[in-house]
Amino acid sequence: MILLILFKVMLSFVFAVVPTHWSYIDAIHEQHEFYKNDEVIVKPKDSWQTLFSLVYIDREFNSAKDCIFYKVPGQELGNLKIKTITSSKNCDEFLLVSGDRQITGIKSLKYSANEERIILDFTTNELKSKKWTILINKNNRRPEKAMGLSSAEFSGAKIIFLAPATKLIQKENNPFLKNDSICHDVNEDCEVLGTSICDRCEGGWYEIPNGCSVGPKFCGKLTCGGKNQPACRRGMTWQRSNVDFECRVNSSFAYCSQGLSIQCEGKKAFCR
Amino acid sequence: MRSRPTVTTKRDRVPNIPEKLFSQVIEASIPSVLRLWEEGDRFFPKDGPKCDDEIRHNKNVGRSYYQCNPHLWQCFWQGGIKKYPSIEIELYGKMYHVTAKSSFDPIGPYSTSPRFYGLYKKKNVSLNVHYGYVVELEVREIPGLSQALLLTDTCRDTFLPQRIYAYSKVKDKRDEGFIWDNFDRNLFIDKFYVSNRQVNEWKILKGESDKIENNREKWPWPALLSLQEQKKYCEFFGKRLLEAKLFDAATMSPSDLKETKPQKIYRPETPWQRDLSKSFLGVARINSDYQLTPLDCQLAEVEGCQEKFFSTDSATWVGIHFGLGYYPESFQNFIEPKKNIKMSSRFYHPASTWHELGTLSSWKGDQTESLPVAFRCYEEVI
Repeated sequence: MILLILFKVMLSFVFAVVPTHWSYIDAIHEQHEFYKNDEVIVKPKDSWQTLFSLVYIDREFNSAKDCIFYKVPGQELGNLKIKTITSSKNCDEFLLVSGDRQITGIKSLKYSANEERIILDFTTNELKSKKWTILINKNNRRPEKAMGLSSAEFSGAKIIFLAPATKLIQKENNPFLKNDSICHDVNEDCEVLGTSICDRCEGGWYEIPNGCSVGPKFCGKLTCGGKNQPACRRGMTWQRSNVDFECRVNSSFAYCSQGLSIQCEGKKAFCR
Repeated sequence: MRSRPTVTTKRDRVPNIPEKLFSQVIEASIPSVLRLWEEGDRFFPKDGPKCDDEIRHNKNVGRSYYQCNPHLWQCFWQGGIKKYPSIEIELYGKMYHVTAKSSFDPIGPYSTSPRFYGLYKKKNVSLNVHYGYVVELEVREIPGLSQALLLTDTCRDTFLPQRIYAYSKVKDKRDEGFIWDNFDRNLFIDKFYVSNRQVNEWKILKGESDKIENNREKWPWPALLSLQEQKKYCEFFGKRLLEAKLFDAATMSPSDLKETKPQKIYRPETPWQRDLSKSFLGVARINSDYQLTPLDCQLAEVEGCQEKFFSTDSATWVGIHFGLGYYPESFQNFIEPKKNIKMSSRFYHPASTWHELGTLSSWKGDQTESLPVAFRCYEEVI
């Protein structure tokens, strides 16, 4: 009996240590809508809640994420559950599935998160207090554009730490986008609709200039300026005047090869 | 008498969890790891390295070839540069030795030895980096633990500042010609021509190891591919074959670097001097007996100069090399598609009129012995 208790204590100690692979976190996603930084979570009692998820890259270059679920104390003590899934899935789908790690007997829990770190602070039934500090890598914070800066450093980092391989997640098949599918949507009013996913184009991307500072982009090779091809981007600043670059009125933001002229399809410029 | 306060030394704060100590040692070693990777040339021994499978050094190869070069990394860790390679890190008053593990499969065409790095090419969408080199580090004093890292190629290209640029030449200097701008665009241009070493990696990654250049002395040389293959090479790594207007932008020095929207865009005739007639190329045009000096060959490798690979002598204002001279270079040109090659090269006499910025010719796309054509890529990052 004593051995069993000792084993249980040891086990809870092991599980109460911050997971080592959390030294490689690239981003925090799916943060709870209502919980505020440093406020003890007390509602809704006895329910499972997704606090946030932590995204990282493993040794096999899988993008994994750890979903952090919490069962708010009520009739029973609180429960912290960690589930590793592939980053393209939503944590909410796994809310009621058993976790890969679990810490039971939590009396109170609060957390705070910003761009640089997450602090998870909880107290167990045995009045043991734990404070997990999780640092977020600087990989996805872009350096300032300056002479001498390389594309590798601008897009990622000079060096990228890889977490140990996660055996828990399923590999995704062919996640790349098809050629000519839109990867950065910008509407006719120059409104950018969502972030670019052009990094999911296998063989690059091209832009069809539409007179906006950011034009719509599609997966595929850049071939512009030729007959029946999209026009090439020339820019909206070289004219040195702040005019409205409406394709049919002023198409100087684009150009075609010698001998061809611009024809507009909506606001997009093509060469005919 | 009051007792002395106890002094907590650094030694006392050594983490008692090996994983924690290990990650602290690795973290502390990162600047040195990066120095070995990015400034591999500094580790190059005077009498040359002893790793013939990886490096056959020739005096005509500039040291920048060894920056972000996986063969130098391999050579260093297999003992070709110093007998017992390690990165020494002093932490908590103790010396730790960080080493790379040879945990990657041999690359047949290079050697039968296990590798200290693995080639990485983006296969899924997890990372916004197209390619790199996976390495694994361990700490001799903390056995049983290792850390995998991805080293990215930070030496390859350089940022093209956002401003208004000119393309090509104009007949009348009062004519503004074709001007354009790259505001809101993040463009990065290769500093050097794509080398045989880089093309070998491309071939290995796409499963054509049997087609690599085996002569190690030729690895630093410019790769001579057909126009179609040049484009395919660049696309494979998420890049594009360099455009003629980008080459002009990167070689024609602006008259005022701070003014990004100048009223007048000048078109210098050489990367180092606005007026060609005042340079050695202009003098050579007038004086047929002109004798090249070593300084001339540093500015542009023209006929009569000794061939030098990966030379950093002829840097343009953004830091790319070979604005004039060295090898003919191919481009994409969406403005004048037939003008797709810079002829200025080591195959033309200094008096040749090809040696002038904005002067292009036409190339059908096949390599010939009389016209070897180099290339470079650029990348646009969103």
